[in-house]
Amino acid sequence: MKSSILKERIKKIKLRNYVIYICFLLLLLVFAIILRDTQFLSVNNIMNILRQTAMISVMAVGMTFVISAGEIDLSIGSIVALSAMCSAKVVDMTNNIFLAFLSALAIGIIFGGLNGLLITKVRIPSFLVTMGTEGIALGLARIVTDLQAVSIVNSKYNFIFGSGSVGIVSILFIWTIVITFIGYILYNKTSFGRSVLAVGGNRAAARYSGVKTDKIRIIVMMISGITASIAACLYTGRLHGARYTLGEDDVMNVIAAVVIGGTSFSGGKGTIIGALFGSIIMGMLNNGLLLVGLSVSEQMIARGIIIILAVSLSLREKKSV
Amino acid sequence: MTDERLILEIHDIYKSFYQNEVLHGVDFSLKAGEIHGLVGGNGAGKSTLMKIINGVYRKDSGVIKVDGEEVFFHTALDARKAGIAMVYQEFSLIPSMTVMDNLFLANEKKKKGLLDRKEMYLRTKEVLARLHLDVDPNLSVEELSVGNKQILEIAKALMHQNTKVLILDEPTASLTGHEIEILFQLMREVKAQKIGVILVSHHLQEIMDICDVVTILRGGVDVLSQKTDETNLENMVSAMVGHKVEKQEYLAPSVARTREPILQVKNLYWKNMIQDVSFSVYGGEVVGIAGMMGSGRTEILNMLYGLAKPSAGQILLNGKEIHLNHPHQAITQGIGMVPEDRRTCGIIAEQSVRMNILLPIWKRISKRGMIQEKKGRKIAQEAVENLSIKTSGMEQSLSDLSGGNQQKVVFAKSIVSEPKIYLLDDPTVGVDVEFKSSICREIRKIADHRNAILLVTGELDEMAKIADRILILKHGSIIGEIVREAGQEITEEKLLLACQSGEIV
Repeated sequence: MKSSILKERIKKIKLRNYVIYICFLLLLLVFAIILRDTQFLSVNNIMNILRQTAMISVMAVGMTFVISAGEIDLSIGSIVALSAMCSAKVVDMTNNIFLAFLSALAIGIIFGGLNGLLITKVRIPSFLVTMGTEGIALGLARIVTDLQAVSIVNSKYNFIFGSGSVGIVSILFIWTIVITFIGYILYNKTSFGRSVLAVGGNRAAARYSGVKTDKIRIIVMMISGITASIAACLYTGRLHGARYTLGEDDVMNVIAAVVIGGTSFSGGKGTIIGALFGSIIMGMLNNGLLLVGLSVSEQMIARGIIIILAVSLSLREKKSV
Repeated sequence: MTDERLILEIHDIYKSFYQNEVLHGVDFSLKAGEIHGLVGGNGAGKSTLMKIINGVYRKDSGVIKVDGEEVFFHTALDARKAGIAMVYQEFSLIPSMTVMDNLFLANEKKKKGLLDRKEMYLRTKEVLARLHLDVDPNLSVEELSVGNKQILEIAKALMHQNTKVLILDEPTASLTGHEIEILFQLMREVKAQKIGVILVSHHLQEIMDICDVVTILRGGVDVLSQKTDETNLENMVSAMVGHKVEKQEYLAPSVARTREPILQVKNLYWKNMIQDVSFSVYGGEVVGIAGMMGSGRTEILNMLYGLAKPSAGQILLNGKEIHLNHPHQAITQGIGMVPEDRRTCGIIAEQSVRMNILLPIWKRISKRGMIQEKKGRKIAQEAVENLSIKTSGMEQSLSDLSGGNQQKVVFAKSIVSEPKIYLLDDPTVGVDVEFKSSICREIRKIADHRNAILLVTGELDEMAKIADRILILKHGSIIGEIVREAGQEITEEKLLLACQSGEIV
């Protein structure tokens, strides 16, 4: 009797939902074996991986909301660049860390809000809207200092936003955990999170059920903008300065992390924790492939193949009848 | 006009789905150059019969003859080759492509392997001229009016030279009066080409106007087959309804209705579809709006739910005027809806039973911003039990549920938000008979809590069973009201006749 209940339980656990963790362990195992003679599994290297992926992890939180709501945000890369320039410039001029952080957040909120308004009010698909704003934000980031890099000498700023550590734990990792935790609560425990899933699952049904669908879609774009500007601050803190090239390759990494994590690309289903693991997988790949000794070009090919494999495991859309 | 040659003969067709026999020996015959109306209520078997003729379904037994020769269709293509063309309700045209490209889709004219656009253009011109459709062959289909799309759809069906039988499934459902006239003209021309036309329709008046012969199906049997000039509306209605042994038992209210109306609608207009509609609904009563498809019944509900904005007129809630711009506002005011189209507006198929039921009330069951999952689970569990939704668990996704159970979830969804006014748009569509009566009881139970219910449905027997008052809607205007007086019976027949003819007897 008891065993049948247990069997029933086991049956109910959908393997698909755990593919990401299996992938994670597999990849870890493979690298651990191949790279057993290197420092891959050392505390130092693992912390290094987590440090490198912190920005992707933070942005993946925002992107999970966006993709779950059935939208996409291609503008995060240049929101990072513009926010970083802005934050660096402000801290350079005023030495006020808080003001610098706020100015970066403002950029994220403004661009996220603009994206949201264009998507809902002008009814342009998010894919196209964010392709446009991506260009605008990048252009502005280049104009701010006329392509010059800005360096940050405020050591407190650098400590808080990336270079510091508590014991052996990098402050970047703490940021990752905090943002992921807030995202997790918002996504899983609040009516807002459920509304996001409803909008992504079936927008008309959500509307009929009293969900303010336009408001939800604007807010998810703003969340994505905010996480991008937080990531921007982390970049500047870690690098002690800002350049307009920051964040330029991040969009694809973030989207890949979210989708590998198990968030449905068509919306309505997703996971914040999965996105965190997705981004760590991306980081592990970058780090491991480098340690294996592949050239940059070879790394690109290997990464592409592994991403396709991982996505095909976690995200096979149901066959429609 | 018609000659006596039978182009399509159907004898003694039986068809079952699993244990459920849908057609019990149907006979049907069509002459060349005849327009033959096919009528029947929901579930009478007319679409099954059409799909058998069209090769989509296979008959269990019986004989189908085309031009006197027995045929066996295994696919729709077989039927197509035998000269049977079907025009579906949902358009099969590709909106972004041109008129010409649609007509020749998968049948393109070629010259040395390349498209022969000149030849196709000329052929299209010719076809359009024959149908008196004055449009440019290079126009995108999306730029055509609904009426012209319907005509183009028929043109596409007639592109094949050998078409002998043309089946039109509810072609007038979305057309305006003028467009219907053009369509009828076209049908007469098709008829003159010695093609047999089968017209499937709910509108008996239309059948009388255009058809030579009418066949009525009820419960999978052909109960009437007559020349239209030898019959009349009353005959057809009573054949459709039949003489039911089982009487429609009226589910009477157990409380008196409130003294003041909860909902009042005054002189409501919407575009050119709703004309000067006024009515009120009291707490504790079920008011039905009976009307044909396209009479504007759904539009009225949409305005009351904030999905459409009235062009003019007032909506009053407890005597106070309200303005609704979004369903969210309607729900806050205590108005709930069970929408007509379950798949697109009712459910989120990929999500669980629990997530769907609780969708309208996540905010309400949150405390300090956090959802109280326990409370939600309890509410959802209760709803599932009350409506006896068959599911393996609260976490089962809706796509795994039967249509009837999905509909129950939609119903549960509006119940959990505890409205005072329920707008029910075909609440039992696609639901099994057992649940139909249980939903009727549920509706009465809700009304007995002094809630106001506005019921729109095509299932008139249901309305006869549950509604305390019935408004008759035709072409967007309320043309009459049937009030149930003590001991008086409202029959399906009476309702159907009122909707069809616009006269209340």
